[in-house]
Amino acid sequence: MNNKTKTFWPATAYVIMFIIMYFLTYTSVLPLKIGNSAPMPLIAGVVAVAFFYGEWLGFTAGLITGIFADAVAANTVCFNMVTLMLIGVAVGLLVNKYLNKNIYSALLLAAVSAMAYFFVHWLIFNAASGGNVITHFLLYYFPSAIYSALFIFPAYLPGRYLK
Amino acid sequence: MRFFFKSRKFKIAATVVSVLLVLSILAHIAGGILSPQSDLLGTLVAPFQKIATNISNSVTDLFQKFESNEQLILQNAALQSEINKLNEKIADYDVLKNENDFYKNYLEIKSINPDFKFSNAVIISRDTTDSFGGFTINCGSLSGIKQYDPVITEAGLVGYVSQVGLTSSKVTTVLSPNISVGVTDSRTGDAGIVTGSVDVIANGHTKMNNLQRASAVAVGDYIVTAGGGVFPSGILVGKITNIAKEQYSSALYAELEPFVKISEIRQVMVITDFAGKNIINMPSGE
Repeated sequence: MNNKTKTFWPATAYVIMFIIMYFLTYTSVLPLKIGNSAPMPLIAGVVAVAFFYGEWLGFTAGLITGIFADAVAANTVCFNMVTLMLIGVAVGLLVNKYLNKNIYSALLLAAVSAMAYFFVHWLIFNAASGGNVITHFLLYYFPSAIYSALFIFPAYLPGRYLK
Repeated sequence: MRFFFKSRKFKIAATVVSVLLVLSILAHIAGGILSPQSDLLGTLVAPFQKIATNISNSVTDLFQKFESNEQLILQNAALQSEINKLNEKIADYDVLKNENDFYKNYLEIKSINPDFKFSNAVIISRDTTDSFGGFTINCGSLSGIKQYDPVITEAGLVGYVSQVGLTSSKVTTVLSPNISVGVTDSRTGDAGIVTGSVDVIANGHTKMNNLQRASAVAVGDYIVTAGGGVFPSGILVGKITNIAKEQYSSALYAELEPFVKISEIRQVMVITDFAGKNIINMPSGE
């Protein structure tokens, strides 16, 4: 198997996965919302790409996905672009230097990334809005972060088995 | 990691990101314009989102029919396949009927308010991470939509256009803390300001703030827009479900159940012009 063939299938799988995740997140084709938790599966997608292919592809995946997300997300300006790009770079660097490439590391990184994403989202868009914002974080953002991290399982498969 | 930050790739990436950031921030400062990259990609994906939303709506309609007729379907198991075919036809019929009802309501509102100029829009995406129900519609500046244009349905006020692209716009709803709508109680005439709050969002409600302690508002009262500035007067906003004292002041607030079920709407009307528009001020949340 030459290099082009080696990269073709994982790349195709990830592109398809990102398209599916994008439409699942921003349309109601298959509502992912359970109770108060609304996941952001794209975080797990970016984490998986950075996990297997390093900081540069993580950066690119985060940047492109973030711009697409900002195109439809409510009043985020460039929040998704910046956070997903930083997540991609950070995960790529951490995996190369400090972590083993197994599902536990991927799950840990996805959980930390999702928590960071939702925490910063809450901090910027909700924390200053007044009212009981801590309860709002615990009721909406925290379960959403946990739920988002679970999408690492489907996102992990193409990188692990199509490499 | 040091090599990463010193590499040529990093410098190129940092330049690209800086340019995109500057464009985004400039667009935001310029006043509710989508950043060029978001606008371009939003325009590209909008047709696909519309298709996906249409599929989703048809599937939802079918499921709702199955749920409401569950008992009947069980009793008529032998006719299942025929019912499915009929349901598909009914779903198509319902889509047409809903469109018909929508235009009928549109004409009614238009006849009551002849000064209103409308642009009809379909919701093409919803931001699931926004707990205040923000969504994107399929009309933008090419359809004459501008920032702060009010968004309504036949049931009442939905919100306002917060960001405008060429072919799509983002809507901030009455559930959001970023909105400030001057309102009055239709029975007593007491004035207040409707602003969303995390305290009442769990019920899908919003808040009417700045009510005087001596005000005569009561549970069940209808709240309508006061008019002037951004929103025309007399548009239904919601019904009072609870009245309580503000935590840090002597003023009262009322919890409102919006007449529009934000999570269920599919089509909206954007009021692009009306008599008295922009006479007073813009929403203070922006």
